[in-house]
Amino acid sequence: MMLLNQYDLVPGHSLEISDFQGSDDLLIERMHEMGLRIGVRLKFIRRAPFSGPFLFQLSTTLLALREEELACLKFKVL
Amino acid sequence: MSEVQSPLVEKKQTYEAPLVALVGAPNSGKTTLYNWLTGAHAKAVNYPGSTVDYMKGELAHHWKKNKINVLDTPGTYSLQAKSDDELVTQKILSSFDHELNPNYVVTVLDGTQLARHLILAEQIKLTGLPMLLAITMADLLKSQSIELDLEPLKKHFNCPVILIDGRLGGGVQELIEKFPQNSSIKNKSVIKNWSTEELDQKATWAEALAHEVFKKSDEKIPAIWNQTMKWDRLFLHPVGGTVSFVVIMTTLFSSIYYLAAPLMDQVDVLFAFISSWLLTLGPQNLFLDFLANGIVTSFGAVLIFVPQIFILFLGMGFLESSGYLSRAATLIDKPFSKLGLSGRSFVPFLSGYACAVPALMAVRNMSSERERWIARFIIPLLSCSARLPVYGILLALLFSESAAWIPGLVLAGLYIGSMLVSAFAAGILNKLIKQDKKSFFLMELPLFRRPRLNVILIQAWMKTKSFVTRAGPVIFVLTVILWIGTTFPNYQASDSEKIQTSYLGIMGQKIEPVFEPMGLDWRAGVGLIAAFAAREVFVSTLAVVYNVADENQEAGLLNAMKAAQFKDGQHIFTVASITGLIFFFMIALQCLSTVGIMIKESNSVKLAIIQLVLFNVVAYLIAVGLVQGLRAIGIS
Ligand SMILES: Nc1nc2c(ncn2[C@@H]2O[C@H](COP(=O)(O)OP(=O)(O)O)[C@@H](O)[C@H]2O)c(=O)[nH]1
Ligand SMILES: [Mg+2]
Repeated sequence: MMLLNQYDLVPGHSLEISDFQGSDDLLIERMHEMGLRIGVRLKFIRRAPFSGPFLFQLSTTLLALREEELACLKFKVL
Repeated sequence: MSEVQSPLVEKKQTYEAPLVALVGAPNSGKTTLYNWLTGAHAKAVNYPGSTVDYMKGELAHHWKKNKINVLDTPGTYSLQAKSDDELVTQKILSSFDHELNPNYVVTVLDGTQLARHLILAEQIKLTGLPMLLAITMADLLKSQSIELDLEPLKKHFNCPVILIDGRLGGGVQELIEKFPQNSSIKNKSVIKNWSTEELDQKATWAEALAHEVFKKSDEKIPAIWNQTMKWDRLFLHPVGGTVSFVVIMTTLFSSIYYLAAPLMDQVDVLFAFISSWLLTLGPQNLFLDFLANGIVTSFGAVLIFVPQIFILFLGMGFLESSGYLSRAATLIDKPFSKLGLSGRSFVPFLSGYACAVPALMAVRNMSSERERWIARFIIPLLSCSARLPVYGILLALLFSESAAWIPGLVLAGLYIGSMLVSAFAAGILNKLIKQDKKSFFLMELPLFRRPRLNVILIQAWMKTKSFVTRAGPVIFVLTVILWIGTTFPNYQASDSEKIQTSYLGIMGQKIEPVFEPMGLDWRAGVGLIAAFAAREVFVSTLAVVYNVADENQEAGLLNAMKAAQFKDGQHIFTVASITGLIFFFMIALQCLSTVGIMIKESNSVKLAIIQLVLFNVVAYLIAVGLVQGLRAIGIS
């Protein structure tokens, strides 16, 4: 298990959310509403072309997050 | 736990039909269920002070129930609203002083997303409103032989729980049986604001509950996604995704051109026919002229947009409910975010290339007020189809001796130019309008699904109706005013003389000094003013003011324009003045229909007028600058 940043992600990686960071409380609240919380596992599917949003599978859901939105998450790659 | 706004107001006993609201996350199947309930009845409604629109209608007759109203609300992930459309849903559920506040809530949960959607259900339960749970996508669950045990849900929520098959309508009858028969139910509504810790607790609870409901078979759900994942490999591929995006969007917008064009022609022909028939009833009769050229033409000016609007919303509905729209938004988000916009708002911009009127209507679907302002402001700058005939005649004049590909290339340049100008304007606005509420992209990508045609048809029809009733009257009045300006006082004269001596013509002559720096005479100026009815009217007005005989109008007009001279014998339409005109048309807001719909959609006459004045002044200054600049370097 190691700490990586978002740019090292490879499709198929499984991650575990280890913390939230940043000052955007509304966004972090929305993340919690959408089921993202510490300890939750995500599977990285792919990044949209042209440095677009990142796509993750969260149990039965496909989520799209912008780069700066993803930066609010600290995660470890499993 | 903090409680916000708890207006413990009890809804007064009324004798109105009860109102049932469908509430749920985006793509949970609300609109599909709404359609099963109401059949083809739909009316666009707005919550006061908001332009987010949604549908309200009566329960269809074939259900054989007393009158019950049903409301489809904007999708929301939670009652702690984060965007303007979510706020509408929150308001509907939390304040009890408006006719859109429901007596009963149907909480719509996507069965394949149960764990996450249960959090919203819990929030709705805590408002205290009577409700039931409708679990959609029953057919998809069944296809993976996932069985549900609804007892734990019934026990926790203490309300009916019904499985809905949105494909075939299974469960809808049972749902209706639970609706209240009168509107006398007393409500007290409280929205609980959860902290992130509380949200996490709820999420853990929801996952356990969902697990129980699925009798531990929820690991089968991701199989429903297999097909979608395959499609995504294409639609989100750098090359495949870009190519399919371009192909899909080109198809949509060329169908707005090509499918709508014959229909628009028919509207045009029909109204022209009625007009000329009316005129034959009594030549020189002012009242008939008013009917024919004022009233009938104004009706035509409104209805001419109907095919475009219908087709645009049909196409958008198709893309949205198939799931593609979210992919397109994901693909385009990065470049759009540079302009302060979200990828989700690209459709109105693209449709602006067909026509600003439906594009401005599509702005309603955007979820951030700030982005709606930016979009409304720059859409009229996009090169709409009404500019084509104008560019056509001007380029023909400018390049009458060159090979055909040159004007073609210049035309393409004009389209790119308009894209750059609007991106520039958006960039400025992005700096000027401060961001009060941050907008997110963060969203769920839905499954790819086959859309239901009747659902999309009804929605497109509803939008079209709402255009006719909302913007129609304004466009109508503005068009009649323009008719008065071009007809009086000398209404009995011949066409050419009538317009030259009309209020507008007189005004044109009075303000000729305004047009002079653009290198134009008052007749071209009158054409510019008349073009406010619609840009393409510029061409037909020029034909009238330059007194072109009818046969082969275009060649006649070209020759007349080439020959047109100022009093001192100088040619009017020169390289400089034509270039100025082209740039003028690129920027100027010369379309009363656009002004009309702006007034309605932005709820602000002031904004519409500021935009009108600003765009035209800027266009004028640029045209003058170009003409004078070109002359200064020896190009007349
Ligand atoms: N298979 C299946 N598809 C459904 C069902 N309900 C809705 N859909 C589809 O799911 C998509 C989103 O539904 P819609 O009613 O527009 O969701 P809304 O955003 O909540 O209004 C559309 O393509 C529908 O055809 C259902 O019960 N089964
Ligand atoms: Mg809907």
